[in-house]
Amino acid sequence: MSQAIVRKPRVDAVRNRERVLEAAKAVFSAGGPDASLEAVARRAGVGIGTLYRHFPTREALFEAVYRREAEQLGDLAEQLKDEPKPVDALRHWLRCNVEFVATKKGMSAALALAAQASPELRSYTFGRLTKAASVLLDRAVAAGQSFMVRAEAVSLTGHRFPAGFSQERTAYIELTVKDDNGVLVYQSGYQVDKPHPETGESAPDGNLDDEDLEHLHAVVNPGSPTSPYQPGPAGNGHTNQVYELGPDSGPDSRVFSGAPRGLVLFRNELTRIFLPGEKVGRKDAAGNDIVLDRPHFEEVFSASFANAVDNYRSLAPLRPTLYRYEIQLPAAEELQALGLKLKGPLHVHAQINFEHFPPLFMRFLTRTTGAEGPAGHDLGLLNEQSIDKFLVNIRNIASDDFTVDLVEAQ
Amino acid sequence: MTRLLLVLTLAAAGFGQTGAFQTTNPNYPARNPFYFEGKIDYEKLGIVSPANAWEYMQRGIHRQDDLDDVEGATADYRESVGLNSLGKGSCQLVTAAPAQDFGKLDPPPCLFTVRLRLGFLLLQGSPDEAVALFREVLRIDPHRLEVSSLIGEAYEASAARAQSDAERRRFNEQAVAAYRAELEMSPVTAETMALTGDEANNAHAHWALAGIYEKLGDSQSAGSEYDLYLKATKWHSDVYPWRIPLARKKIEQLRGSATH
Repeated sequence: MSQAIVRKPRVDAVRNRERVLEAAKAVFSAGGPDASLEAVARRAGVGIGTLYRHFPTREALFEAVYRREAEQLGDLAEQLKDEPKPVDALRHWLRCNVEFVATKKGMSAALALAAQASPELRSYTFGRLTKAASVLLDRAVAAGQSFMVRAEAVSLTGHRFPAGFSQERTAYIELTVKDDNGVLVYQSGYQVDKPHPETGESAPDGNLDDEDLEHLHAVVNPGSPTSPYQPGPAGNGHTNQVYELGPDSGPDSRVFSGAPRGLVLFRNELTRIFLPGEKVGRKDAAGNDIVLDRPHFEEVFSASFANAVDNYRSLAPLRPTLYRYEIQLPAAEELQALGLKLKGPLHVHAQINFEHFPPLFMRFLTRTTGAEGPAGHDLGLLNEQSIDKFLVNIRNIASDDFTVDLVEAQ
Repeated sequence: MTRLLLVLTLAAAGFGQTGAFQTTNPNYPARNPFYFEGKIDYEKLGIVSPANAWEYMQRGIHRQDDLDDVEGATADYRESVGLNSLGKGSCQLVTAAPAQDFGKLDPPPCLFTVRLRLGFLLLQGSPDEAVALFREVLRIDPHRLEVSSLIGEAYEASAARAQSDAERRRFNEQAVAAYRAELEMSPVTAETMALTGDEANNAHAHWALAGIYEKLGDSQSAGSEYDLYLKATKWHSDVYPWRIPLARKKIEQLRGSATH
């Protein structure tokens, strides 16, 4: 009985301390380091004297909140390290980390002073968090597992980037992952040199600037000659031949499915909403025109074919935007079949490139002004050589690199 | 890490006001046949508390993409689908262009983005639910690319957790059917070959099919699919370029095993 009487105040004290810390986190996060300690005490439901008994100075309170958050985050990482889905675990941990930084942000000025005065606090939190982060990342990068790369892009302009409409002026992220021996494990935002016989390039010409990004295999046909020329898709029967998503899936996967895969590109996308009864502009496997009985919505490559623009695929000004890539490493048996052994660390490189016109759009113009176009004869305005001269991409506007440790599969 | 967190913190700021403001907000779009699908910068919408299926969808997208909050996004998407339900009749399939404008359709058109996003989040954990959602997407927009492939992925996830060989085989066969349906969406025709020179389309689907046929013990079909995969990547490479030499090795192995 006497023991119980002795213990009770201790339990209360611990509870009060926890209440104060929880309240301080909320109050400082919202009000910054100058928020009043009375507000903290009020929110915690304790008197100001109780608060001062636990934390004699404002700095002591800051330090305790910070240390507690780091501790909880580290504990969480330890708990999550045995989760069967490492990517989900990492996601959960990052989500909690957001809250931690919110705490840090609201108290940053005071923490700077506290950390300056306490090197131990600095090294403690750094050590605790880097250890926690590596625990989770390490688990995510064994052979056969997937891991998440997060790329952040921000446009330091006063307008959306790129400005202007449609398929012209496209910026995109080129992202590669290689092992330490240079083996290419993953690529997004890439181009491949290939022939374009329809516009005079009968073999690969060594130029990547005139190649489309591999996110969509599509062609725009100029249609048949008409006299006089009628603008719009019905005028000369020109068609938007979107055949398939390419190996790099494309931004549609990100926008509509929320999938962390596919090309990240920044531009204002031309789209068309087809209505029931309309032809979509291509044929089915039996060679029949596809006539719609439901509305259909897709990216198009000719301004006269579009009836809508998706303005939200370009970068908003001054607002960092985050893009995720879930990357699957080859499984052990696949590596064995290839006679490969990946060597860590993995090198992740991301860069932003800029192209003035998608080559697909230029080739559409070439066809439109060529012998098969509406004029019925070659106007001699564009050909593959002029495309080569015209299309010079600006590469590597911005870039970033980091490495990820590779561990043996368990 | 710090940069990531800064992004999320900024993205969460800047909520506006709801109410009359929305009627003049140019970022709050009028309904089209799709009830406006896709994503809009969330802070431009001024949604404090979602009031309908479309607003729940937009908040879900914001939570998923900007805040990395998968649980919150899933909850919002579920709410959205519940309010835009084919089963309950709270949305409709548009089968003809209406005489009145789309904004006046009552019930409103069914949304496909929210179903795709929810389905993707449920794909590994609840593949049955994911398949049902993807099938609804195909009722809304039957010509949408990638949806059948997602159905195939969901059946593969079901096969991976199947309790018996028979059940695993059934799911794998359903996955094959789904990937085949995707291939039919973008067939190789004389016209496509003349325009692109591509002898095969859709490397994703052929790669997936080859792997499933291997699991089903159908070496001949697996070999054919690896061959089509190589044709589809001939001028297009792959996001996983190591798959190309691996496909060649697989073909060699499969041919070797067929002759023994």
